[in-house]
Amino acid sequence: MTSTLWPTDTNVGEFSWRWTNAGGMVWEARGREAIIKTVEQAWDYLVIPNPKASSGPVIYWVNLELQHIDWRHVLQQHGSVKAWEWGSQGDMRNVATTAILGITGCAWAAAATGSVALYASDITGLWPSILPPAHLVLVERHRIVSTVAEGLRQMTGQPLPPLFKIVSGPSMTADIEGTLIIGVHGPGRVGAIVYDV
Amino acid sequence: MAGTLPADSKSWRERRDAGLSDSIMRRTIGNVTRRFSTGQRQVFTGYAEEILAREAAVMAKRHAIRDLDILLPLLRETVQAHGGQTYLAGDAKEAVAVVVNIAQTRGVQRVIKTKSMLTEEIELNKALQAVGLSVVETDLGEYIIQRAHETPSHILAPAAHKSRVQIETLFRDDACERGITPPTSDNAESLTLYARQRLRDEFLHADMGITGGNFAVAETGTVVLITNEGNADMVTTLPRILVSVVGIEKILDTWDALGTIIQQPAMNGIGQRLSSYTTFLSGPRRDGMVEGPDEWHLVLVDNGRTTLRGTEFEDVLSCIRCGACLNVCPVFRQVGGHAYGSVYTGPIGIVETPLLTDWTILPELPTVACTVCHACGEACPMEIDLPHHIIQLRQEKVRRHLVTSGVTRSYRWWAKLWATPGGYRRSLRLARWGQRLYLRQGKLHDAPGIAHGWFLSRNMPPIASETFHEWWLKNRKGGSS
Repeated sequence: MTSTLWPTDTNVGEFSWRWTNAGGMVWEARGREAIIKTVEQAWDYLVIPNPKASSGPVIYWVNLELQHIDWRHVLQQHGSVKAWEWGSQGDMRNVATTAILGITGCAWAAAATGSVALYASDITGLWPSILPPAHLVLVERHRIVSTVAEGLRQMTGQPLPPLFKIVSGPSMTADIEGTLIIGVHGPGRVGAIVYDV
Repeated sequence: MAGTLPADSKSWRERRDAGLSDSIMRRTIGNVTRRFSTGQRQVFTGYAEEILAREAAVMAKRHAIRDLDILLPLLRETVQAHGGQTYLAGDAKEAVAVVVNIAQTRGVQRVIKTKSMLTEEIELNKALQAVGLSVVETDLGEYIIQRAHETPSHILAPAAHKSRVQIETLFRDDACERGITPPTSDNAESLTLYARQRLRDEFLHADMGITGGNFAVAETGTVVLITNEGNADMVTTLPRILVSVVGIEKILDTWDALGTIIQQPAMNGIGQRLSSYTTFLSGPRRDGMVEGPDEWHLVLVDNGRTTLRGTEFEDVLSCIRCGACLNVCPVFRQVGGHAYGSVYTGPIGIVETPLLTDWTILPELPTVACTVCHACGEACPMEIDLPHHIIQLRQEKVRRHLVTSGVTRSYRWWAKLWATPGGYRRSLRLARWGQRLYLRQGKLHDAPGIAHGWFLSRNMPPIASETFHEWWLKNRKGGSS
């Protein structure tokens, strides 16, 4: 798969192909307005099919370069009942449990496996990626490296977070007669917006 | 010191026949193993980087096992430096005692678990339940077999022997016990949705999480867990106490070594480049964070593993539990996992079960459950020489007098006869004379002694009235050999 916006960036193309192949959806966006507009498309794909779409909040955190966007406003425009930023109030666990969508940034992504890496810290959380029924990850395109091994190498020389994870697709199982079912414990719908500010 | 493993008390014959007559299990295991082994072949096609990475991973595992004396203390040091607590358990009993003590001293009532072969090996659930704790497996397949009070039939697909109808019955009983809504039908989606809702409640109310570990990196003090369901992400982040029970052979020396091996379980096990979720645990929750446990305990378990070090079987400790050897094994595909009677099944189970326990359980496995077709040796990504080890174990079994004297005598007699051309000819004459007792409608229907087993499921043509050797002797020019 070749990237529409960055046709010479092979990492973006490979990441998109692998992420889609694993059952996720990918959108591309360049610049603030395009990112906000793309979130609307992602909302239609990730949230609208959920019969409880209008009943729950959204929980989110984004990388530094997107923090200037008023995400609460954007999400409420799309139909979110309430949008909670990670760390903005005490009971993040309860918010994440009732959320209809979790939105996260990522520390890095790997093209060869279509993966994103998320670290747990006071300002970045893992629950938005696992407790809600849908997860949208915002991937800054320069954070996409070729391989997981390369991403892991980037982490050396600094203290490791006590918890971090690599996501490479939706939650799935084939434990019942070998039938593949999406969304067993974690999100059944996952999407990625690859962006460039 | 030898370890202990649970063993099925039924005889091999009973276990084998139960497997062969279980049509649901055979159909599902057949489908699953074929899909996984095809996936393994396809995922490496054109993926040169990971072919090289696999070779590097083999070296990394071999080095780590060799340097275990240095790496074990290093791992404990790095984990403790991050605020974790570590324990080294010599055997299953010690490991269980450590975990039970952690639970009891911290007022734990409800425990959730990720899939872990090691906790099956040490029978941890039984011990925790014996002291009154609720223990719930959260991997869907493990949850199903826990409800059925059974053991896994495949390393990666533990409930492969259960049908949808059987699972629906289990879930309906569970719903009835708890007074909740049962699954709406026996289709896989409804059953999975029921499990999602049922287990979500367990995730949110558990006091303690227990995980295994696919890898443990000594340099950084990190335990790595690989799942497709995402249950490990919940088990590691939601309960206040977290215990990781990890075999000492899971150690890797460096973070770089982890980079070479991290994709191998998924690639070789299920034919994916990477599982949906890879979870890295390097310490308990830090100040300012809301996710993660208050306490993290790492229990490192030996249970017979160090007895393999420095022996010709040391490479067995490199196993990454991908299940590739099971998926290609013609015996496993026919009889399924339960027939082995051990936690570890398939070719790796045949080798590990007697070695870890010093032959105290299931000594029949190397002899009865392998055709020496060598498929497992070709499939193993860690280059463990399983076929050779199985033959070595057969020899060891004879040395330890674990083979009945009748069988030993039969093979000695056979070997002696076939050691010379004259002996071979005499044996044929004897067999031709003896086969008359077992001939019906031109076919052999039985044979005495060790040959009897061959005729349980097949007939054979009789020995020719004149063999090629005999014809040649009569007809070649000159008429003599």
